[in-house]
Amino acid sequence: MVEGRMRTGTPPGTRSLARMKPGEKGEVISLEAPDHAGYRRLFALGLVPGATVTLLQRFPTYVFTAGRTTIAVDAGMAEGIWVAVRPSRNRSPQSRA
Amino acid sequence: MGWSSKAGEKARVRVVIVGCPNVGKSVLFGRLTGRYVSVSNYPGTTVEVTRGIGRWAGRTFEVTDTPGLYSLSCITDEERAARALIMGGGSDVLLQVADAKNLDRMLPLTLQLSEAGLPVVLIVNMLDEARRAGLAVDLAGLGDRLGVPVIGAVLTRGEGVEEIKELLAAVGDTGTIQPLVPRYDRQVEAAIRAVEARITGNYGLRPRAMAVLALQEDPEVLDILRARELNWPLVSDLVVRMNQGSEPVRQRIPLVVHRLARRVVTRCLRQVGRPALTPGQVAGDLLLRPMFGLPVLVAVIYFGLYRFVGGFGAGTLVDVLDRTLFLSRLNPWLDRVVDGLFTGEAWRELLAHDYGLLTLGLRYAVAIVLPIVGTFFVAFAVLEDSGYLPRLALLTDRLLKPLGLSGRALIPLTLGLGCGTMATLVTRTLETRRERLLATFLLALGVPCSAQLGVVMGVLSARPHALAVWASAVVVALLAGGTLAAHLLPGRAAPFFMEVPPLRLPSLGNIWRKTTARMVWYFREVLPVFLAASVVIWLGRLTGVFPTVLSGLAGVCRWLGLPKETSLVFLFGFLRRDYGAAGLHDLAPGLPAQAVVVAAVTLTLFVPCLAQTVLMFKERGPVTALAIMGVVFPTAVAVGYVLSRVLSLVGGAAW
Ligand SMILES: Nc1nc2c(ncn2[C@@H]2O[C@H](COP(=O)(O)OP(=O)(O)O)[C@@H](O)[C@H]2O)c(=O)[nH]1
Repeated sequence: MVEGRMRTGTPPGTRSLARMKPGEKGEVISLEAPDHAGYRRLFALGLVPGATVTLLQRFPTYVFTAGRTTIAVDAGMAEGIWVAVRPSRNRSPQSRA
Repeated sequence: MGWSSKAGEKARVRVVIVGCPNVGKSVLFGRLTGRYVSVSNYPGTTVEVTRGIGRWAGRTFEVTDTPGLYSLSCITDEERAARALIMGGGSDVLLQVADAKNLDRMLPLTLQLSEAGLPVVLIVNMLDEARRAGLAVDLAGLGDRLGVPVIGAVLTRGEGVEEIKELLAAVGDTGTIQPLVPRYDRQVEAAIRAVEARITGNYGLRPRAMAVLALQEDPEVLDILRARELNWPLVSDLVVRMNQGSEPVRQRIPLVVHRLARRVVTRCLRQVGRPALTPGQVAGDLLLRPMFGLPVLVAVIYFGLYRFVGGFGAGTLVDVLDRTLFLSRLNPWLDRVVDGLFTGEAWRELLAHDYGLLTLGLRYAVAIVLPIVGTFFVAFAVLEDSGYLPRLALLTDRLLKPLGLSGRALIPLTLGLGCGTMATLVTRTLETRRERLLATFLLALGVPCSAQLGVVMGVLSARPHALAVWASAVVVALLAGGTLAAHLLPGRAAPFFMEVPPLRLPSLGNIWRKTTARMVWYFREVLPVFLAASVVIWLGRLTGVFPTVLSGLAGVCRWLGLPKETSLVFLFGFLRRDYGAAGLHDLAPGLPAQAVVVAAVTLTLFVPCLAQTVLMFKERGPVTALAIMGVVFPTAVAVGYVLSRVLSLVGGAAW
């Protein structure tokens, strides 16, 4: 069972955390976790719809901040975290499609 | 003692400390009871519920520290233990400790506790770190909005402790204020009321809170209701119905609670200054990157384990204690005293001489195990308190994946390098049963405990290539065994996610208190087993059982190309793994290098010590424990055999 599937009508620019670049920032739209326990745990760490996340690094694990909390997740979890990525101003804008 | 008098008994206030992992609960416990139990920077090392007594303002307080609890809807065993304690009703007041920097994550628990009708006091801790992050907390406003007493604190410096004590001393005198509780949408409220109306029993939480947990499909709460409520089928139907569709109520409820918490926080927490960039933050961020993290890891292993535990603990300290204290002074003296006191040979052998309780049991415990385990616990406490361990976990997650483990498992596995028994206990912090099982298996198979490690390094470090052979053989066996087990065991690899705490400068006081607490635990748990093992050895020799077992093991030894004296080492090795290793320490000087390596490898992989075996039965159940033992024993012998063949083939040149 996958918990918390993506809803329809998500804002443009929504990508999974696994497809973000280090330094990119955005709002969490929805979460998919392998099970309800994992979902609740992410929730407890402050990773809730609406939270602002910034990706710090992708390797060897995905590390990002959610609010003032730093969280590390593996690739599998990162793929289930859907983020409306803010267009970055100081970088080339055409790479966001 | 005064507190056991009748009057004192009446006035006793029961205080339970709750909160997320890593917010300062243990520090508060220490401040209130004058005793530090275990302070840790790794979420989840407060394994057991700890109780202590504090006295002030003429009253007696029974303080309980609980394992980390993120929310009332629990996931891990530890959280269940904490909730069971709260539901058990044994508290006059709950002290919820919260991290000021992350109040929005902490307040949902406060709201849930209020919803459950529990008397909660919120301790907003780590105000120093919040200040450094440029944050200002409006404590009075927070108290007004939440409707619960709120106290600000920097617990490590003792700030706020007096205020907490005063408030606790006045418990019961406080007027009734209406605490803030979550309100859900109409549909959910209707469902809550419907479930609530069918709850007749008393479960330590308000029926409304039970209903909210039931609607979130909390397995434990559903079990309770199934067993005790006549109207269970109606409740069950409703719970199932409310959780269908794309927005199940189990997701809607926590979202509402979280939004309410956020609303409160935005009003009471303000960014007033720019966050100061501390050296700790810079270092903490650098350690996340393999380029810096891995070299630091190598340095930690070299200095922390090899030089400090292996060199200083297992070398210098053991030498001083064992050789100069026990072997040349204490033991001969004990032999004489015992011989003078007893005439029977059996008694003399029980207490002194080669295998006596005092000359062997006590000597191994004090002279060999104490310095090694002690230095390891010091090193581990430094790593733990600094916040390094989670960084290690995230760096190694990928490497552990093939073993069916996540980076989380690295903490019990590393602790296993100190004491396999304690590490087996700490596997509780892993989230899936499968991962707990795999970690327990690896700990049993071949993660050498510090006593073993110290002795092996002591024995082999004079021959660096022998040490390298030993290390590679053990690592290969662990990797192969772990990979195979992960493939054979059904189920998915555990997902990895972990909070990364800020890097903090460990304080000497914390390290001291933590190390001593662990040492006390170790000796309480382990010294009796040591002495019991000595008695078993004595009985075995007295009754003639041992020679039979030994001759059986001697066959195995011959097969491995080892002299038959090593069979004794293996036998002791089961009674205590480190005991066996220590026996090897005594034997090694007379053996060829090849035999020492084979013996060391086999012994490392050999069944875990008695204490760890007992704990394995307790934690994983007899079937699993026996299965693990059944795999580990032949594996150890097989690896030893292959190694001895390979080494003979490679031949004498290297040896
Ligand atoms: N800077 C700072 N650190 C604190 C404070 N309180 C606790 N700590 C540190 O936070 C870490 C976790 O504390 P601990 O009591 O083990 O948390 P527990 O898991 O809730 O029991 C330890 O390294 C403490 O030294 C505080 O007020 N300020």
